[in-house]
Amino acid sequence: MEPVVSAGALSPWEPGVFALFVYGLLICVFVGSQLFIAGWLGEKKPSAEKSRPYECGVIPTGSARLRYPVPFYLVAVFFLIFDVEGAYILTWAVSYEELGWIGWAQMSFFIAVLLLGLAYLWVKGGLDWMPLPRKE
Amino acid sequence: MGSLVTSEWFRLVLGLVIVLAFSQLNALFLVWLERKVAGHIQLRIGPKEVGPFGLLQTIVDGLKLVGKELITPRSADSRLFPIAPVLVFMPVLVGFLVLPFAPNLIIRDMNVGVLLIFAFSAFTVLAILAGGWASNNKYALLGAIRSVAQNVAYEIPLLLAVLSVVLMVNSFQFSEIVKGQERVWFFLIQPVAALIYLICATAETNRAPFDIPEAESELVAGFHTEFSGMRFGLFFLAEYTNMFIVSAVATSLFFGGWHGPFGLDLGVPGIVWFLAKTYVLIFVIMWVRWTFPRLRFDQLMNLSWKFMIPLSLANLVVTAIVLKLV
Amino acid sequence: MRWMLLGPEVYTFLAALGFLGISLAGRPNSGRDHLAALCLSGVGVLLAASALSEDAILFSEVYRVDLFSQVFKLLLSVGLFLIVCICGEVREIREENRSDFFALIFFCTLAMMLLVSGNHLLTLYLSLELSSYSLYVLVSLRRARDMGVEAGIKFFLVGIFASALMLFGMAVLYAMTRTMNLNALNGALHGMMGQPLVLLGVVLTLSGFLFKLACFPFHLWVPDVYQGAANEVTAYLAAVSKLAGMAAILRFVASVGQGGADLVQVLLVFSVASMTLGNLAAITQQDLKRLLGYSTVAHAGYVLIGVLTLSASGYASVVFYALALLVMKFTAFLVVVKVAGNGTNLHINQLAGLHRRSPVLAMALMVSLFSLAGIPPTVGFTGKFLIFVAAMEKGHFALVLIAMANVLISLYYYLLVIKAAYLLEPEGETGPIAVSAPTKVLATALVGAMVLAGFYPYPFMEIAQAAVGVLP
Repeated sequence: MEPVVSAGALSPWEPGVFALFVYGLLICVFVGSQLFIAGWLGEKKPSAEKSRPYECGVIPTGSARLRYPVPFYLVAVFFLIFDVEGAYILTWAVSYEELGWIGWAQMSFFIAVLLLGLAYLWVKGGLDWMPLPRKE
Repeated sequence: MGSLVTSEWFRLVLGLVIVLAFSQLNALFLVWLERKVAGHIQLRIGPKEVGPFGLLQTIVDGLKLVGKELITPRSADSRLFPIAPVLVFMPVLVGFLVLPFAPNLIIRDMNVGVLLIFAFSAFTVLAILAGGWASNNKYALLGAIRSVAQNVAYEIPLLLAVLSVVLMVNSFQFSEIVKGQERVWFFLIQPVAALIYLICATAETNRAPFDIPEAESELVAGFHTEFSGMRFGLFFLAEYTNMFIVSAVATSLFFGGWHGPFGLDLGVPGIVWFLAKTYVLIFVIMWVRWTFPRLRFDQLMNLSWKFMIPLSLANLVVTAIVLKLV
Repeated sequence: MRWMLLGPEVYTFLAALGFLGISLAGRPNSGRDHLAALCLSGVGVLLAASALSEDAILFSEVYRVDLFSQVFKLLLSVGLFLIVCICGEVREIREENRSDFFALIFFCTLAMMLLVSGNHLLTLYLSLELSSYSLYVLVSLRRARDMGVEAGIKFFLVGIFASALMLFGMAVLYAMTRTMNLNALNGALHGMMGQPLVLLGVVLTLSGFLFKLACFPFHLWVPDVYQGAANEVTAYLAAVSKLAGMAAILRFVASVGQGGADLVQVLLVFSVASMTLGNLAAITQQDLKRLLGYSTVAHAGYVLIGVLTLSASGYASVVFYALALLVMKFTAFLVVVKVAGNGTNLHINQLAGLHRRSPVLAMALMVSLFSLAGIPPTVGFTGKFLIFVAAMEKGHFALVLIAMANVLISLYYYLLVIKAAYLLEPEGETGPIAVSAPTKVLATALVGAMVLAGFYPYPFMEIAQAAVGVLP
């Protein structure tokens, strides 16, 4: 019996991206149907009290779309910087053997710059979570 | 017929069925284990009524969860809210695709396996943020942003610790990495990286002492405060499955995967070694949870930025230079 | 091994790292920092001068050291040195940020040195971004946070917009030619300039340089940023950072623009729009920094005239004009910094009675503004003259006529400023401005240089011609 679909036809890329996509979709379908059945078969007794946001029984005041503190934003920015630079180190790590001493020196320099940047953030208080003392 | 068995689609569907069955069973078992461990550490016995040693307790709990009503709070985002649990569960299951249970028991031995797992575990962050935001609840949003901040902060040292192993085998392929540990497990060569990995993995799974995002005493249940019934169940399932994944990755990266210690197999099949080591690691994670107090949030972030990241970068440089010299 | 090959770059990099280290070590001490910066930038000028004759293509042909780049590196070093001279007390920047300020202007100068040597689109892009990012931070450093941050964000938004367009243009060029190396592009684009996609790629790539040059249509940031940044930073922006923009646009256009009749039309529109908009908007300005900002936009238009001739004499006139702009703009801002002693913005009315309060500064202001307007016998006149002659050679008669009209318009607002300095009487009682002896010497020397170079421009013209001689 011939396979209905050859593996190459629908997943031409080496890691089989299409198959991966189908797999993820199948999981979503399965989990979604699980949720649907649970919702369909389970209890359904809606009431005003039940659908109120749960804040330990206290009636919620104000919007829940809080303006959260700036350090969270800073963490996100630092993460972007370090993670993108991590991507360079990734590609270096797999071709480490071929790159030789020059590759090592370049990447060490790169990591040194990263560390310098981290030190700068640290000293300048970018990593602090306490409110800074008011200047002037 | 043979071509059907080896065809990608057959493997895909078979893999999906096995993974789903395994992940659910595993989670049920882990919940039971967690309660037993917690019980014994606190000088209690834990569940014992339903089934032998209380083994069936979680199955009964699960059945009860399925029957519960799915409440959607009236202020919640009606589209994003139901999707969030699915989003959080999907990436965890993708991780199973590349785990090397035994030499011939890998669903898909990709050459970017390690990268795939970390890419998808980063995806969880989005799901958590979606859930917390969609709930439109102050606790949920606070929990979600804390969780995201924590996850992204610990992702960097995690990745760097893994990279020092990748550096040694020059490959992201799990089978290659495990083959490289036939004689010596990497945690003996890379103790610092192994330690960093374990700490960061605990933080990535949001478990105590890094469970600030769902700190019960301040935030009720963090980002999944508003989720009930099976939706909550999926968050729960995802957490325990995630625990299995990080332990399995640790096993294959640092503790020899399917190999026995020092190349001694003792006639035991690889999958037994693999699962045994994974569950021992899971036990350690549980042990840590019930032993250490929760960190404060600034301590949590500082541990990552001021200690883990410099240390892992330094470890990477040292690894590189030692590899060049040897 | 020729040690001087990358001498200026390595030296500037190390100097910037040094200031970063000082900043990390804490203990702000602006006097020490200023002295160090003065010495370092002074030595940097000597270094750049001694590296003038280096010539090489490095790093798989992405980096080019030739006379053109070395001349601009020397100009940049001189500009940095001059700016550091007036940074003795940068009041509008906090004491604890003073080392960062010096580190950033050194980094920015380093980036521009890399920019003038870039021989690959990505090198150009990266160095352009490094210099832009340094400038975004420098602008936002102002003590009056609301002004500085507002200016910084406006600057940043226009900047990322321009750089996104630039990247897209590079992608188009790469798609058309399969190369990003300027030499290779020069060959590959030969005869392709008529194609719409190539023109699109070139024009979009130019957007990054036009942003740097403050030229239409990327001039929107100029007035607000000039107004919002600290005076010294504005001086740096106006005098030094424009140099690198001119150098980059020259190298890029010289490499890819040959035979691009449509490109000339596009540049012509940009040029006319830039001068006209800049000059008309400058008339109504009351803040001297805003006025100088609009005059920068107008000057970007004049510079583009030299570029769009696509001839060696046009390029040479641009190089000469770069030198002239450095001196003129710097002198004008020297006066701004010194008159606004407390670091605030300078209103034109505040110049009233300047000729009595400080004759030297008043004279420096007058000569520099006359030079900016293009009155003979100043260097500004010679520069404009050279540009217009080069344009006439290529038959851009109407363009030169428009430019002449613009020069007349600009004369009006420059004269308003000079009138305020010489003819208006101050309202209240204002004492003389304390000007230190080195500043007096500096101002006199600059005035002398402007007039001398106006009278006897030949050595500089020779240098400019030799520098553009290496361009393709």
